[in-house]
Amino acid sequence: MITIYQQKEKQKAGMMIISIIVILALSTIWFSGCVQQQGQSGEAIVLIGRDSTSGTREFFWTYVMGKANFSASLLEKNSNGAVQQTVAQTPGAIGYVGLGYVDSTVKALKINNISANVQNVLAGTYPISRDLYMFTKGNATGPAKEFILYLQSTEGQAIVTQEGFVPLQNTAHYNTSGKTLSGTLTISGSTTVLPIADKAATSFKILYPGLTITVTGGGSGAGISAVSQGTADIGMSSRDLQTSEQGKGLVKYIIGKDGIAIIVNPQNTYAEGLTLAQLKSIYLGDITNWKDLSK
Amino acid sequence: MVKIFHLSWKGSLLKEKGMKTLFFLSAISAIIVIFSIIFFLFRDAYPIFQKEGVVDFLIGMRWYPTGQPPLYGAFPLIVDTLLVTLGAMLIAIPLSIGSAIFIAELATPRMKAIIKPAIELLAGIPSVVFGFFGLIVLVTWLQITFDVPTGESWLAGSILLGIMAIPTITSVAEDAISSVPREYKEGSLAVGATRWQTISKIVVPSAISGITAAIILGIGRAIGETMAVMMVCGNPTYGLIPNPITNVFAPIKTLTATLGIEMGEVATGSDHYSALFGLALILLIITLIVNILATLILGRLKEKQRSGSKRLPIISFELAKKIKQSLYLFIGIVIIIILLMAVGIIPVICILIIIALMYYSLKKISIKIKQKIAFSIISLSIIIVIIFLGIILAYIVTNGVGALSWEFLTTGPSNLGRSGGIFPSIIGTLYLVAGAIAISLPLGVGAAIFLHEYTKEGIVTKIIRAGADLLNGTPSIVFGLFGFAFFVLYLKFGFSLLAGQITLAFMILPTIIRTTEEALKSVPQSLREGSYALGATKWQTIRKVVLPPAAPGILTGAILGIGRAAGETAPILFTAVVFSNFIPSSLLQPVNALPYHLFTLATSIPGSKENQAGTALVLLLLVIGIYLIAILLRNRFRKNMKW
Amino acid sequence: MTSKDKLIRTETLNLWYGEKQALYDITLGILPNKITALIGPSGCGKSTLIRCFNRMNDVIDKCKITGKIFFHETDIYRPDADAVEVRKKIGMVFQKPNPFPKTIYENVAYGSKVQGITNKNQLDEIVEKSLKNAALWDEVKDRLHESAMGLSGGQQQRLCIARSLSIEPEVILMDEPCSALDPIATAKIEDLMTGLKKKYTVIIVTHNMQQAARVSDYTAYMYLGKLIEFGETKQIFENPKEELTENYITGRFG
Ligand SMILES: Nc1ncnc2c1ncn2[C@@H]1O[C@H](COP(=O)(O)OP(=O)(O)OP(=O)(O)O)[C@@H](O)[C@H]1O
Ligand SMILES: [Mg+2]
Repeated sequence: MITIYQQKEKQKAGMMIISIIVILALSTIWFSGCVQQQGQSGEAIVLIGRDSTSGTREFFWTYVMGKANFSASLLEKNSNGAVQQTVAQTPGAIGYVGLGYVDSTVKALKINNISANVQNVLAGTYPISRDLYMFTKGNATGPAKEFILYLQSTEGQAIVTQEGFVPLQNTAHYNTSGKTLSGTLTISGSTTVLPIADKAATSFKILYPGLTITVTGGGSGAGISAVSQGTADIGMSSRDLQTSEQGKGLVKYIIGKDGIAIIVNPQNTYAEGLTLAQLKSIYLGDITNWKDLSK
Repeated sequence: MVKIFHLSWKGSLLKEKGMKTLFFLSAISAIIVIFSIIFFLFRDAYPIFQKEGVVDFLIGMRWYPTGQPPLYGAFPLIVDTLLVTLGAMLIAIPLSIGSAIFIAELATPRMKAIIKPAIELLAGIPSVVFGFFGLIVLVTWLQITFDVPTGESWLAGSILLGIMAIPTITSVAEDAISSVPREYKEGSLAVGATRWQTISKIVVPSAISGITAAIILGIGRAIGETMAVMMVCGNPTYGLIPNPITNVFAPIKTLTATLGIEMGEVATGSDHYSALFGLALILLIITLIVNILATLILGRLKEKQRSGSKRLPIISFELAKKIKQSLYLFIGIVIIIILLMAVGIIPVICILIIIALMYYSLKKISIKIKQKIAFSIISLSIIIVIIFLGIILAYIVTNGVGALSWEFLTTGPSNLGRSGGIFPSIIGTLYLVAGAIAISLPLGVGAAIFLHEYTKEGIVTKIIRAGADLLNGTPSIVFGLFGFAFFVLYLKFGFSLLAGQITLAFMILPTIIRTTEEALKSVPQSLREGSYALGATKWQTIRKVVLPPAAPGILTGAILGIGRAAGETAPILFTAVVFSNFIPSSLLQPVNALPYHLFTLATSIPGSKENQAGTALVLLLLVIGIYLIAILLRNRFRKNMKW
Repeated sequence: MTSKDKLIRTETLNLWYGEKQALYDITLGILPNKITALIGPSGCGKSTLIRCFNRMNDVIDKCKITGKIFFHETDIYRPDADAVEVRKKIGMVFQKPNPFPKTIYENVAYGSKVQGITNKNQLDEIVEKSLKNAALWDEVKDRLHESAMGLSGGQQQRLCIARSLSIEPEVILMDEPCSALDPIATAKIEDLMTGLKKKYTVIIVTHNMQQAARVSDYTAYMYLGKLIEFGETKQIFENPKEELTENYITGRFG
C-alpha cells in the first residue's frame, strides 16, 4: 500500500508558530529598547529653522546667533509656513517665523519679556526684526516705480499691516492723478514678501486697468537673479544683497519691516518667554532639553 | 514616360534619405541631451571643485554653504542618501517580491486580474502625493507611536520611499516570474517537489535576472526621489550622519532634498550655487554607478543561465564551493561584528540564538508545513502592501472629497490657496504636459524607428541605447537643475512654460523610445517583407505597414509619458512653476501646476488642509486616470496582437 | 485480467478545460511492467489523459475533473490525496526536453534534494545511478558541474529521464518524448524504454505509429476525447476492432 494521503502535523506547526511569536516579541522588545533611548518626547528640544538660503535665516543667524554656527540638529524647512506647521505638529519644537505666521496653532514666546507683536516692533522694544526689500535694476521707472511708490504709501502700508508685517512710519497717500500705465509688470522673489505683493497687485490693478501684473514666488535669491537678468521688473527679498549679487546695478527699496516671532508648540508648558541669550544657547545646541531651561 | 519615372524615383530617393537623416537626428537627441546635462552640471559645478578640491568636497563632513567660512562637505549627504535608500529597500524588497510571487504563482486568475493592474496603477501615484501623506500622517504617527521628539526622520523617509517603490518593483518582478517557462515548473512538480519547493528552487532562481532588474530599478528610483524625502526626512542643517549609525529616528538630509530646498533661493553664480551643481553631479554619478553595476550583474546572471559556459573554469568546482563558503562565513562574521558595535552584545546573542533556533526547527519541520508557512508569509506580504497603499488612498480620498466641487475645479485660488480653487494649476499642468508630449513624441518615435528599422544592432545602436538608459536613470531633480542652468539662465527663457515643457520632454523621452521600440518589435517581420516584395520603399513600408499596427503601442507609451509628466514636481520646480493665480498667455511666462500647488500648500501654507487634500485628490485622479487609459489600451492591444 | 492486476485504473474519467470538455468517460487499466502507448490524432486528448495520471493538470487553473483514477487501488483524486506524493510515485518526461537552468548534477539531484536528502555521498550515488540508467553517464561524467543547457536535445531528454528515474518512481509517463529528437537520439531512447520496462511501468504518448508498434505492449487509441479502442499492441495494429482505429493506423486520416 502506498501512502499518498496527508498526515497531520499540527505539533510541528505549533512549534513553528511559537518560535515566530517569540522572535516577533524579542524583536519588539529590542526595538522599543532602542526607542527608549530617544528620551521623552516633548521634553527634548527639536530645533526648527529655515534653509540656508533663506533671508529669515540669514537675519536670525546674524542677529541672534552673532554668526555662530547653529547646532547640527537644526532641521531645515524651506518656508515660513513649513516651520509653523512643523512646530504645530511637534510637541518639543521651537522655530522662528515672520510675525504674520503666528496663529492659534502655535505659541509665540516673549523675548526679553517683550511680546512679539506689531506694536512692540514699531515701538522698537521687540528685539528681533528686519527690513523687507524690493529691488530694481537701476532706478525704478514706469510701472515698477509707481508700484513701489504705491507699496510705500499709506494704502500700501495698510496691506503690509493686514498681512501681519510691520509698516513704515510717516507715510503719505498715494496719488494717481493724471497717470496712466499700461504694459506688463513682473514681480518675483521672496516667499515672505509674496503675500504683500500679491494683495497690493490686486488693488493696484484697480487703479490701472491697462496694466498686467504677474507676481511669483521662488525665493529671495531667485527674485534677485531674475531682476538682475531682466526677466523680472521687481525682485522681492527678505534679505539684503550678498557679495556675489553686488555690483549688478540693483537699487533697493525698503517697503516694510518684519518681526521674527519665536514659536513653540501650544502644548509646551516649559517656556513662556526666553532671553536672547537663552535663545542663542538653544540654537547653539547648548540647551537640548526644555527642562534644563529653568536651571 | 521614362523621364517621369526617373524623376519620381529620384524624388523618392531624396525623401528616403531625408527621412533617414531625420530619424537619425532624433535618435542622437537622447545622447545630445545626456551629454548636455553632464556638460552643464559640470560647467556649473566646476568652480566649486576648483575652489574646494574634489576630494575635500566629497569627504567634507559638514554642509554649511552660508556659514562663515562656508563649508562644502557632501559626505553626510551622500551617506544619508544611501542610508535612506537602504532602509527603503529593506522594506520594499521583501514585500515586493512576496507580492510578485503571490500574484504570479498563488493568486487565482480572478484575483490576478484585479491585483495586477491595480499594482500597476499605483506605480503612477505622484511622489508629491506620497510626500503629502507622509508629512501630514506618517510623521505624526511615528512621533506619537514611538514617543520620539520628531517623526521627521530616516525611518519616515525609508518607509515612504519603500512604499513608493513597491508597485514598481512588484510589477517588474511579477513579469519576470510569470515569464518563467511552464516547462520548468512542470519538470519540478513531476519529480515530487511541492509548489513552494518549485517556486523557491526553480521559479525564483530562473527569474532572478528579472527580479534583480526590478530591484535595481527600485534602488535607482529611491536614490533619485526628491519630493517625498524632502517633505519627511527633517533635513538637519549641516547634513547629519545618524549617531549611532543604526538610529533610524535620526533626521537626515539627502542629496536630492538639499537640492530641492536650497536651489530655489540660492544666489545665481555664487559658490553655493556651484556647490549645488556639484551635488547634482554626485547624484548623477551615483545613479550612473548603480546603472553600470546593474548592467554588469544582469549580464553575468543571464550568461550563467543561458549558455552552457563552455569555457574551462579557472578554478575547480570544489574549490569554488569552498571559496564561496568561506566568503559567506566572512560576511557573516563582519555582519555580526557590525551588529555588536551597533546594538551591544546581548541583542546579538539573542539574534544568533533565534537564527539557530529557526534554522534547526526549519530543518526538522516537514516540507508541507514549510510550504504553509511560506505561503502565509507571502500572502501576508501582499496584504501588508494592500493595507499600506489602501490607507494612503483612503486618507486622500476621504479628506479630499470634501473640497471637491465644480467651483474648486473652475476657479482660481484665493488667500494663498487656503480657499478658492485650483483652476490655474489644472490648466498649467495641461499646458506643461501638452508641450512636453509634443516635443518628446516625435523625437522618441523617430529615435525608436531609427533604432529598430534603419540600423542593425551595432556600435551606433549600442551607444544610443546607452544614452537612453542613462537618461532613464537620471533623477528628475537633475533634469530640473539642468533646465534651470540651460533654459532659464543660459538661453534666458526665464521661469517659463517653455523651459518646463522641454525639461519634462527630456525626462519622458526614454519612456517613449522604449515603448515605441517594443511596439515596433511586435510587428512581424513578414509584414515588412511583404511590403518590400511589392516594391515599396523603406519609408513607405514604415508609414503604411509598420506604423499602423504599432500605433496603439506607441500611444500607450505616450500616455505613460503624459502620466509621469503630469505628476512630477522636481523638474519643473526650478524651470517653470510659480505659486500664483496666473494662467500664462505666452510660452515665456511661468505657470502653476498641480503637483507644485500641492507641494506649496502642504509645506508652506498653514491652514490650507482642506484644499491640500482636494488638490492631492485631483492630482491623484488625473494621473491614475491617465495610467488607467494606458493599461486598458495596452491590454487590448496585447489581445489583438495575435496575428 | 482482473482489476487487481492493474497498476493504474481510470473510471469514467471526464475532464473539462473551462467550458470545453476534453475527455469523455475514459475507463482503462494499465498493467505493471509493461509499456502502454497512447495514440490518436492531434488534439484528441492524449496529453490531457496522461497528465491526469500524475495530477499535472492541477497546475492548470480552469481544469475540472470528475471520475476516479486508482493507483494501487488508491484514488489519487480523493480530496485528501496529496498530489506531491502521487508525483513521487509516478514520474513524467515531457515532449520538449525541459532541464532546469542548473548544472547537470543539480538537475538529477534535484528530486532527491527536495525530498530532504542532503548527504553528499548518497546524492552522488543517486546521480550516477540515474544517469547510468538513462544511458547518459558516459557522455556527461566529466562535465557534471556544467550547465545542462549546453547538452544536445537528445542528451537533454535523457537527462530528463534520468531526473525522473532519480526518485525511483513506479511509473514513468512520457509525452511524445522523441518528437523533438533526430532518429539516432530516438533510437537510443527507444532502447532505453525497453530496458526500463523491467523495473518500471511506462506510459507513452506518440504520434509515431512505428514507434508504438515497436516498443509498446499495449496500445490505446483515442479520438476526440474518447477512448475508442484499447488492447494488446499486436491486436490493435494487426486486427483493430473499430473502424476508426483502422482508419487511423492505415493512415487514412490523422
Ligand atoms: N490548458 C488548456 N486549456 C484549454 N484547452 C486545452 C488546454 N490544454 C489542452 N486543451 C484542449 O484539450 C484538447 C486535448 O488537448 P491535448 O493536449 O490533450 O491533445 P493531444 O492529444 O495531446 O494533442 P497533440 O497530439 O497535438 O499533443 C485540445 O482540444 C486542446 O485544445
Ligand atoms: Mg500532446
